[in-house]
Amino acid sequence: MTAHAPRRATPSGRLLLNAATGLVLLFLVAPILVVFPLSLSSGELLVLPPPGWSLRWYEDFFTSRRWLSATWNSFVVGGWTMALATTLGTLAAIGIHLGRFRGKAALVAVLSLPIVTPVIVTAIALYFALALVGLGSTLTGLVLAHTVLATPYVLLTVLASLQTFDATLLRAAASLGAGPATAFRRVMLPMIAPGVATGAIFAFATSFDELVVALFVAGPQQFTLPRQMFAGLREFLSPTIAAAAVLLIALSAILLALSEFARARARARGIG
Amino acid sequence: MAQQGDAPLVVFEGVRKSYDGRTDAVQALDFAVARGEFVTLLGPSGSGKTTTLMMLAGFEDPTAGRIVLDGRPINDVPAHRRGIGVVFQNYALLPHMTVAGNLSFPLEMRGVARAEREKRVAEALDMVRLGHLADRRPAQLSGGQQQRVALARALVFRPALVLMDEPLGALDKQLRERMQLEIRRIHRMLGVTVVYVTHDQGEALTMSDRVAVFDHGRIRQFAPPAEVYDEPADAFVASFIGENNALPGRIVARDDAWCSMALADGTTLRARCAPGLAPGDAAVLALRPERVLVGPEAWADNALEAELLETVYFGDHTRLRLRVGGHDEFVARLGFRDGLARPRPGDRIRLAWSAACCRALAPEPAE
Repeated sequence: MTAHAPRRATPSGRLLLNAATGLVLLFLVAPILVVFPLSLSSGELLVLPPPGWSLRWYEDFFTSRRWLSATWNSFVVGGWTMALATTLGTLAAIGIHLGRFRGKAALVAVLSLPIVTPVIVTAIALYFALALVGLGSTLTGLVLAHTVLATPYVLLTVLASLQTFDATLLRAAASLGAGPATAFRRVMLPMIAPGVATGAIFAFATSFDELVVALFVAGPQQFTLPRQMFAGLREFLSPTIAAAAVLLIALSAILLALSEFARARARARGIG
Repeated sequence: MAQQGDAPLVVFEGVRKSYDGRTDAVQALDFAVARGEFVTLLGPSGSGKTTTLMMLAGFEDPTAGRIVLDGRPINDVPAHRRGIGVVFQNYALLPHMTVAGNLSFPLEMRGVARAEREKRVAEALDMVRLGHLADRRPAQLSGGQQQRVALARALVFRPALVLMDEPLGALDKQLRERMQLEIRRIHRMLGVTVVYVTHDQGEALTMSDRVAVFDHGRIRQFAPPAEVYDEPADAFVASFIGENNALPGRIVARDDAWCSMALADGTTLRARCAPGLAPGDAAVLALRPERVLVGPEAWADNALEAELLETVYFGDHTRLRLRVGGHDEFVARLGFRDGLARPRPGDRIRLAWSAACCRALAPEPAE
């Protein structure tokens, strides 16, 4: 994609701008692109250029119990994290937006702390906290840990979508006979749905990509995909890791497309 | 309209509202609205008229007092169970639903069957002449059309009471006047009770059966438009509604409903007298500019000559600013009269008005 050229740019100026833009994009994307040829290598080693081309490492991925179970774990943990974080984050955002109380900004800041706290700190804290209540090395513990990390993203995206929500609509709904639950379901939720959907996708992605907390909190039975890749890097370095990386990138791209789709649909319907 | 007897539909009993626990947005309101009546709450912004409407709708809780709807106290009834139609200032149409969907919504909430819903939505849209726009979304409508959808939506479930919060505020003047007529037509047709909030005094006078004039959280006067205009209860009402000359002076003599009043320069005038004023009291003489007769042949029980300071041409009339009783802001209107020389600033002009047209009122306490 090209940047919007300023209207009065000279041809040479535009060329320079396009070249600079291209270079920046290359700088950002090139490191990621490296894993594609690596994953398609026919050799046993992670070297460039690959000695030949094959899909053997993808086959290895899809036939290995270890990789499949890690993938499954990632989906389970991501799914539960998404459900919990979306529920909590959405409710918190609505409460903060509609509530009449002081210190809203401070409350949002506190609830967003997991975003700015170094992940390693959160991870160590969660490791001890979960061990204390007997949830160390359990899927439940990992889901709770990821929910802590993911909820702020939902909170912030839903808060943003609430900025354009006119609270008078809730009064209008009440005047028409809708109780609070119905008004939420029929009036508020449809209007903030794009924000909730984006938040849910962020929550899933946060959990799906997460490594540091998984390192501390997950036992061997709860290895997620990133955790399994990390183990693979240290123990049996093979191009399967590159294949897994490509699959992760593909999934991220799909999630990004989904959230863009949700936004575009909301715009088409004249909301958000 | 009055099937359920003559009991008022809405009663406010000592209703008070304070947001901060110290100052009252609304102080001790007592009033009643009859069935089928069109009542307007009129006042400057911050006078408590909207707060009063919001308490009636159920969006604000009174700090004290009781609100009765149809004989039933509704303080503890949540807004969605009050069955009151509301037209909001910004219309508050549900943007993700079509026009028909917006109108159908209150019927769905009441469990009306689908076929009946469709029939009543179509009827309501016809009533506001928007049948052809049923499938549009609110964003695709003009302001006037959105306003009419909001009106139809507040009426489609046949409430006994409809509240309107400055519903025409966002429309241009021409459209506003058309909608005023439209709302009056619908009010007469349905016999529904309307409580209407506005800060536009013209709107209040033309539309209402009775007007409640609000100021600082209190009702200053609650009376039919002609009474509010011609017999203002106090100096605030006199100055807030319509153009008004307020001449400060002192009561000289009083006999029953009439009094003599002396202005600063000694001019003595006859006027009707507000209750509570006694000889010696400071008072303000309230007089509408259009009640003043102008010209050499002008004759009435108050007559004087005054210096013309300024004329402003308005087309259908000329506005004269004169010095009367040492007061430079006295305004009179000169209507069109054939063959009469147009007066010029500096002229001495004869003015006259009937004592029945002016009132001596207690002055407003200084803020």
